[in-house]
Amino acid sequence: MEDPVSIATRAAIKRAKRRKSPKVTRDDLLVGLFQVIARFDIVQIGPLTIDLEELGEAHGETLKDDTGKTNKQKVAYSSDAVVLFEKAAHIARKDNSSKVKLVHLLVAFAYEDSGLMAQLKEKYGISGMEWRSALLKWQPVSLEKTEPSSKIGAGNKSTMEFKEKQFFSPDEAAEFLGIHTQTIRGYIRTGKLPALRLAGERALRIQREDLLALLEPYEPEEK
Amino acid sequence: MACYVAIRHLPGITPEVLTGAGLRAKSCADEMTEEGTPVRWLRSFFIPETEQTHCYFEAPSSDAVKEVNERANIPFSNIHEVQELVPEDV
Repeated sequence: MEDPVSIATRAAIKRAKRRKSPKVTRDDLLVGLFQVIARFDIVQIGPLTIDLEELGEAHGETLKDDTGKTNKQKVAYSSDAVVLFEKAAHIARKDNSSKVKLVHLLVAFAYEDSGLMAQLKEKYGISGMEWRSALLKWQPVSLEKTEPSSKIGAGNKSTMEFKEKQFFSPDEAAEFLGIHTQTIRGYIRTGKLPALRLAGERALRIQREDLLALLEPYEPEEK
Repeated sequence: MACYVAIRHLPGITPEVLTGAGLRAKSCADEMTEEGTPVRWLRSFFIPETEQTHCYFEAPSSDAVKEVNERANIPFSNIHEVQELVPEDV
């Protein structure tokens, strides 16, 4: 499952391609983030309601130029976008997060005084502090809850997909059991969990039976 | 698929710069793969003593590795094809 940050950065690249620009700008990145967190083309962050339709960035709009052919135009991140990624990484670190999440990228925009973010600040009459404060209370509607997919498997849609599955990748096996991928890899290394190697490849596969065999009934200490 | 290393000399680099570069490399590799040039960033090693970073990519050519780095806006000094050796194979 692709993580939301990857989806947002890819959406930013696609926007640059649609604009026929050789550069992926900060604005492309902001719109990419919005498109990922929007529902019904509305981005709701705290008291802020941003209408992507009004911005001309609604989902339908963005598909206009899509001819169905793959656009191979070479687009590169602009220096401004590079700085934003670094700011987001810095914010993530201060937030004690090992990964840069959507919220960290969004917070990085608080310090922007030009481009689309500046327009939004003016339009909605908000300061960078108010933007950060809104993000502090922000609960992603649909996407970010699927992010820790390799950690907790219970209840998400992949559990259904696993019903018929016979061979699992280490990531899928971790999700299946609701434990961390590193734990699965550790079990494989120490021989606790048998694994198969795809012929000539590095990829590992684990059989369903072997995963189920890891489970044993819990015996309460006092009966 | 061949394996390549992109060697970078990045004096004074911070963990934030490395993380940002990683995020960009991932998205650009995915985009190029979708375009029909399968590029995959495998892993990177940072050598603090020499301030060098070695980033390994799986790609059809060194040009593809060059392009993914240009797209991600990550400077590099050299790109070389490498032979991969893992303990399991020897």
